Amino acid sequence: MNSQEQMYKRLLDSLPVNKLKEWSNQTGTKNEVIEHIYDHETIQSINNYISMNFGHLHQSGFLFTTQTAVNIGNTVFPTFSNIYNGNSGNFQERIYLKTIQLPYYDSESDSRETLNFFVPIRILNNGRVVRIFIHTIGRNVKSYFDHEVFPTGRVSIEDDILEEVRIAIGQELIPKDINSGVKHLWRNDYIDGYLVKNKRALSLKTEVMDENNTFKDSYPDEFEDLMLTPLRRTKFRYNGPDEIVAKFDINASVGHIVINRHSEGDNDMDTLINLILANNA
Amino acid sequence: MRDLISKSEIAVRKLNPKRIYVENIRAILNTNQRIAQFVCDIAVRLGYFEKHYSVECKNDSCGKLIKTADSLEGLGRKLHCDICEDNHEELYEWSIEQLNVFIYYSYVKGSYEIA
Repeated sequence: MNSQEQMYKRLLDSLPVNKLKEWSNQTGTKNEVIEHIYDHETIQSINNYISMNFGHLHQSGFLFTTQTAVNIGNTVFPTFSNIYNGNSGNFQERIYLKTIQLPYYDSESDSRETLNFFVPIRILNNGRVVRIFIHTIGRNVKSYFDHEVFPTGRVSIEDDILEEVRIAIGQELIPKDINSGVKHLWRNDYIDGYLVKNKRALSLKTEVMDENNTFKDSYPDEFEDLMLTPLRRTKFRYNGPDEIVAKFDINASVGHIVINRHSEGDNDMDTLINLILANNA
Repeated sequence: MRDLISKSEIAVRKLNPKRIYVENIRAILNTNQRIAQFVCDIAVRLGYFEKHYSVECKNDSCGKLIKTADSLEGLGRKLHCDICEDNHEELYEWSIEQLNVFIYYSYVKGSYEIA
């Protein structure tokens, strides 16, 4: 289950099928296209393709600052395998693969096993600014088997990766507060929330909107009160003029953005971050 | 200008003096984070505010503020969420390094009403 071939096929499976078909010039099912790519491409070309198409992956993005300047180009991460070095605007850009193991109990063999994945990680760095993007594995372990298996224990993939970065750079990663940027976009109708969490003085308020309703549109007066409080992880729908992914989560108080669907654009995560930061006071 | 001051007064009255976040101050003053942080720091120095630390449950389905303290050390090394333990969530205990620390302030001098 955990040969290099199987792990690379799982990695390719994380890309949208239309991108894989476009690359391979193949039709057929996603599995057939993946088989064809693995049989005809080198590991290096697959790594390059993953790097060039990182923006199409489901991903979790973390915006940090540090106390002193970091140089990601000189940083060694013991368990990350470097697959891309380059620049993105003013940022140094690095992409890595990290092997993670998801534990499960196999009812057929009556044994405890792990299903291994390559998790792509993208790091952008310019001085004290560090942005970390981690591919989020969407599929349940069970979906990789025809017989019954039971996931055992939960693995904190993101925590482990962030901890490794923190140790490697030798300093704290300070989460960036993007409340004002997100609120600006919300006030100007670029976005509206459909699952809204905000911190009140002595409680966390959660508003789950019915059907396709959104918060500001439905409760304009309560929206004004909401604007005075720190936002927590909120699910947004995008209504702005740019062609970016339709839905995403933002925890504005800790600079965390999650896109759990395939983006049509080459890098909707960067576009969204630029929109937020351009308006973040 | 008078309208702006009036709006700010209304907003300030909505604050609970026991727990004020920098973002509350930033939003009320309609300023940037750096100035809002500066205002809070000055308020601490002048004795109007006291600074506190808090941590919140990491499970997306929860998010409860699980502990507060007057210092980072006071939060302790291991934190646990009773709601998530009751709900038999797989994760309900964390080390302090795994959690985001949120700073807040309490108002200690003078008096004003809680709306």
